[in-house]
Amino acid sequence: MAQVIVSQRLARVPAEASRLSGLLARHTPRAVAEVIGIEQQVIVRLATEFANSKGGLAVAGGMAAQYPNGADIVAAVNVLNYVAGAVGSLVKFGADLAIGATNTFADLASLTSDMAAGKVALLFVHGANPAYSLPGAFQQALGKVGYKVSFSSYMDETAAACDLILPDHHPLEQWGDSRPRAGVIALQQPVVQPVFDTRPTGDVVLKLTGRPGTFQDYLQSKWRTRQKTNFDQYWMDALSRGGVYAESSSRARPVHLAATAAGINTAAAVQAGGDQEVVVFPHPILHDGRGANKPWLQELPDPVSKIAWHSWVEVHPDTAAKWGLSTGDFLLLKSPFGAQKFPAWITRSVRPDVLAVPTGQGHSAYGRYAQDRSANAFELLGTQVNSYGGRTFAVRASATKTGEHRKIVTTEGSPRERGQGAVEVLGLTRAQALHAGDHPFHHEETPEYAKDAVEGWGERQHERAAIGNYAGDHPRWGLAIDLSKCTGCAACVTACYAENNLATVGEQLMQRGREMSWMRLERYWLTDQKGVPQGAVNSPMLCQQCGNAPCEPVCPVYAAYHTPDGLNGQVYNRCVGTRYCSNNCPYKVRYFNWYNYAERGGEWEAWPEPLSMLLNPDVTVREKGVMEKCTFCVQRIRGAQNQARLQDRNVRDGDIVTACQQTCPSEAIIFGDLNDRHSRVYELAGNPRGYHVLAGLNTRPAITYLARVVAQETPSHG
Amino acid sequence: MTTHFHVPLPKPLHDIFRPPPTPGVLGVFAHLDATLEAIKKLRAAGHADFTVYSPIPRHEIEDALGQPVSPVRMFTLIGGIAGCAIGAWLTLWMSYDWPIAVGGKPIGSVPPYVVIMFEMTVLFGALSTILGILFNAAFAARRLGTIQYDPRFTNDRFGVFVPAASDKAARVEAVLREAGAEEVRRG
Amino acid sequence: MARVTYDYVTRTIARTLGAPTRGYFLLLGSAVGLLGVGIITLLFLLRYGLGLAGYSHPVYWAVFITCFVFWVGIAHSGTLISAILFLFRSGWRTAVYRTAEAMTVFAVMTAGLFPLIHIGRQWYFYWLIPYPNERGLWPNFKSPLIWDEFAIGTYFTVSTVFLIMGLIPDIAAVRDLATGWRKKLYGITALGWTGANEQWRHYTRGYLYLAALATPLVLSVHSVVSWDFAMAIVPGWHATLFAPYFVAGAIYSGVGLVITLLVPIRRLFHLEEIITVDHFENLAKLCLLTGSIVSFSYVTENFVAWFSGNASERAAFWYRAFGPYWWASWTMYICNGLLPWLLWSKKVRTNITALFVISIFVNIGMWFERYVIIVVSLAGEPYEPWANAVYNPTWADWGIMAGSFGWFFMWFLLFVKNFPAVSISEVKEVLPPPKRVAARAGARHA
Repeated sequence: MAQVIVSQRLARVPAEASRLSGLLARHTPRAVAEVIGIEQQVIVRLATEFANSKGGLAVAGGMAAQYPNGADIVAAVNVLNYVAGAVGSLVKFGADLAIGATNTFADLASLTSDMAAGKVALLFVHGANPAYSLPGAFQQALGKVGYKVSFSSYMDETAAACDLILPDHHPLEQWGDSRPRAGVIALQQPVVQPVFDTRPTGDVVLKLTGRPGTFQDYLQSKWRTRQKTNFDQYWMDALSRGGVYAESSSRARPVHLAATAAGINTAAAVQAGGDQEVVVFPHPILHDGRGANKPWLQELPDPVSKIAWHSWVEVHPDTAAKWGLSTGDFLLLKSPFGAQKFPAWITRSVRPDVLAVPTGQGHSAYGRYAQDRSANAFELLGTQVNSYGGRTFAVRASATKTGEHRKIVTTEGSPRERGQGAVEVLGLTRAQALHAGDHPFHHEETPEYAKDAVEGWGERQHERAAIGNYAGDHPRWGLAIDLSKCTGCAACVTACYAENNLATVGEQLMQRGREMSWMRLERYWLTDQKGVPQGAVNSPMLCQQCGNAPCEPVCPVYAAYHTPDGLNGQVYNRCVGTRYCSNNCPYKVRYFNWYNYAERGGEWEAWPEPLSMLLNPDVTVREKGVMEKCTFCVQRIRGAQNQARLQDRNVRDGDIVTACQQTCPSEAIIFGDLNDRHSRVYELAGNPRGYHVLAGLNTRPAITYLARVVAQETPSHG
Repeated sequence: MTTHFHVPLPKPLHDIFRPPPTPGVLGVFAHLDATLEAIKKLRAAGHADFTVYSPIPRHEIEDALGQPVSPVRMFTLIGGIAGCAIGAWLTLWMSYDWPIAVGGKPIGSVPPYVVIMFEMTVLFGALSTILGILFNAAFAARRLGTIQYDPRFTNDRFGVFVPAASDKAARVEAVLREAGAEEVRRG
Repeated sequence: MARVTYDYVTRTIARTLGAPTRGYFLLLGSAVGLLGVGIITLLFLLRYGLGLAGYSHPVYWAVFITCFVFWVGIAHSGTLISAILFLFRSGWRTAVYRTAEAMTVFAVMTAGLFPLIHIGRQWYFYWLIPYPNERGLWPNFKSPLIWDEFAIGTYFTVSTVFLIMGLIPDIAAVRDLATGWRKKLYGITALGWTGANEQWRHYTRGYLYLAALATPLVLSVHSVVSWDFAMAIVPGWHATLFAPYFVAGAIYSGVGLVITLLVPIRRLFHLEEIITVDHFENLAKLCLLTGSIVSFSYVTENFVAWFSGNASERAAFWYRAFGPYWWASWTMYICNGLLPWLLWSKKVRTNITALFVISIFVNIGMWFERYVIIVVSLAGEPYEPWANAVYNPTWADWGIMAGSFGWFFMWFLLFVKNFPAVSISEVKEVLPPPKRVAARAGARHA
């Protein structure tokens, strides 16, 4: 792309770019297209768009940097930014991020070899589980250490191997601070009394070194050095805001292209090992394995594969066809460092010549939810340090079918949307051309010829329903979900679990599709003509609180009914469990309690001690035989309404924040009163990008989705 | 002789529910046409309160007896109409007593209630019919318990019982025998 | 060849109520055993929850509702034979209608168990009944499940009453032939029936009106049950065809079970003179008629799904035929769509063994029809692409189903040995009455 930009003068290229001419000449689109499997015209198009866009940014790091030649890859990406003129304006070096001051993997590797040589007499481990993530090397080296102390709150693999465990407080129970970048200091204070018999590690270390006082005193004394006058006010401000926030005082460092830039090694990295390239990527939810002991995280499906409770290996369909592999067949991956078997997930989202395996599972300790579950991808990796001191997360391995098979646990239905109106996508040019009042998705809604009939009928029904509690003015609660902002991270799903006492059902029941998640993230591929995914659009699907809810008239006992303020109410106490409502829901967002998940000692107990502490006392815990679904966090709505009444005012827009809205990092979800013309949700509901899912069924949902905008519309989203 | 099972009753009830047997003549017929002849002759002779037994209902016997139409149909009609009204009242009153909006539908929605009304019509109609049968049959029951009976009447014989005092009995016997009675009994 | 006289009829049928054989007790024991399996399964479900059954999002109705519709459907043909054919003055119905009517009552009783079993909180079943309570709560009459409750409740009441009504003259006949304690028992249940003209007068009128009232029930009750599905928006359920489709299917399966029950009754009770091949042929013709309507309904369903152009409808029917449940769908299509066409052949219609075998397949096919309609429509991505599932039943599903068969057969077997399984008085009604003229003519010939 850089070659295209420079040769065609698509951007204001800095003068020094001439030093790169040799390097770039070797990377014309024609030369490169074959190697990477992307067509020439696509490369040219991307280069043109990149150069022409006002804020084009190429981001390296993460997965890209985890090969042996990671540093070269990052350098090449920086070249692209450079020739597009972004360095110095968009890309600034400096700001002293805290991550730059951490130790590297090379340091850890040298520690491991020191340990193995018996040079370490006393080892403290805090906030890490290297016996899991560096199996083999670290585990063996650990045996040679004189005395091992773990400060882990959980019995993980490292703690299990240590001589002494001094469990630390949970972060919610203790004092601390951190400096993510220059200018920002976050201040952490306890919000809960210590639940178990633990001590803050800070206190322990202070005691060991013979210093008086607690860690809290120590922390405060350090803060006093920063602000000598009027400290108490400063301290209270910092506590109430969670820290001090200031712009970075350091200026961006001027960066010039080095003379050796032309010497970037662009050859593919060569590694010894089997014939398959295996990439080990961090599981977005379990990360390096630390999340594996939390049932919320185990039950949360991976955003791309939608697999929960176990690991997998991603295999391209062409490769799978060659090997006669179907989804669920186990593959034994054998690298020079270890061997593990994973069930295959066949997907086009990985290259045909690559296998990808997530980290996180395969613990041998770490509690009932993590232990002996699936396989540990870290076993495949060695301790090689790459060119910038980081860890190499790619390895060559051999892959053989073991003949075993399992049914993978996935929430994925049909990833093809088939034009049913479940998800809408807009091309950028079309989106930019929209004006207020446009209805690009009107074809999904009621057709013109039926519009009057349907609207008129709808109005008459609502008029006749205006007796009893329904008389008078009521808000109509609604949501707006912007698919362009939704990253599919699924934090909202877990937030809902936390807020509404949703039971985690475990692996067996998830295989039967009995997960209780009131909100699910649906991932649809955006594919080209050949069916190759070009991208994905994520759509959170939850109870739409339909105005003409199909679930309501069919409940024989009125357990599902329409509240005066527009919610589709589900009365747990009244439900007898005929399940007709769920059959009639076209969105399939109603969930049934098949077992008593709260039963103490029951086989399917979701909250064994001490997990019962995470139940929200504002929300019922449902018994078996009862239907449940998203309530728009009605407990928060009523709470805010009560609060407003006590303060003798109306509920203001923004008073009520649903759990999913609260958690969404990109603010994709907005809640509010659709009858309030000044609310954010009203404005978003009128946005031309807005549409309703399955609108043709005339359910009149209260949730407006804003279509995802993509650079180019694909022939099918589905 | 009767073959009904009798629960022993105390004396005053016994007098009410077990009245003394009616004196008369019982004719047992093996053929339908003989029975019809007997009926004709008896009616011609002025008898009006005789009982005809048959194992199956025959329209010939009904026509020969000239019985009025059974009033059971009134019960059915009233029951049916009552059922429809009750169905309508039940559904509509309960809907408005606890008004709940479901799926945008009106509170009192007649189309689904028609189903309930229909079913109640049939239910109450059927129950009334039974009531009607029992009610009407009860009038005859007392008398039927006192007259003579032969167990063959539910198998393959027809019977005619004519209540008659002992002096009239002989004449009745003659009529029955003339009509073709297989057997004639007095008692 | 014995001449079929009134006496022959009474005695032959009364003889069926004689001492039961060992085979009978074996059958009854098996039925009670199956019922026991069902009860134990139900206890497990009550204790642990419906999760023991095979349900899977979004298949929230499965084998239990299939069995429910199956049993309710079977019930309808009994009333058709006993009530509707009565109004048509059909003579052949007399030998078969008692068995059919008993089958109806017990099938409705069996069906009525399922709402108590399949709901999530079974102990609150009575909330569906409109009873005055201190909270002022009433059920939702707009829900098809409440219509079900009224329809099936009415059907059960009317069928039972109709059955009992018809039994009274027969019990009197048995009473008059019985001795000892049985005579006393039948004497009480006969309610003092003597066959007097006064009694017949009210009885025949009442019977006529009951038949007239039961007639619309045949058509309406299964229509109401079909509206459990047709009132939903699920593709494959939401069709106006459902009422006639289901009623025809119900009668089809019911006639099948009548044949299945009558063949052994006829053989084991030696009722060959009373239940003749002609009766079976007529039942077979009914089977053929209703089976043809069902075949036509399949064609209509599929055609309309395609013709509608609605992507979801088309997908639903394609999924039925070629999705993971293709085996259930094709069993249904073959047993219900093609099998009845065998009955065009008189040879098949008059062959008792063939009819017995066909009748069993009729019911297999009809069970699968309900399974396909319920489970396969729900499993096949109805609207939401992320809601497909693969469903498979568990031991709990089969246990309850076995229990339902045990319950039905237990009651039926008890009935057959204690009450006349063929109507004594009605069979006599279609015989030529004894007349002196005929006797003289016979005497002349003899």
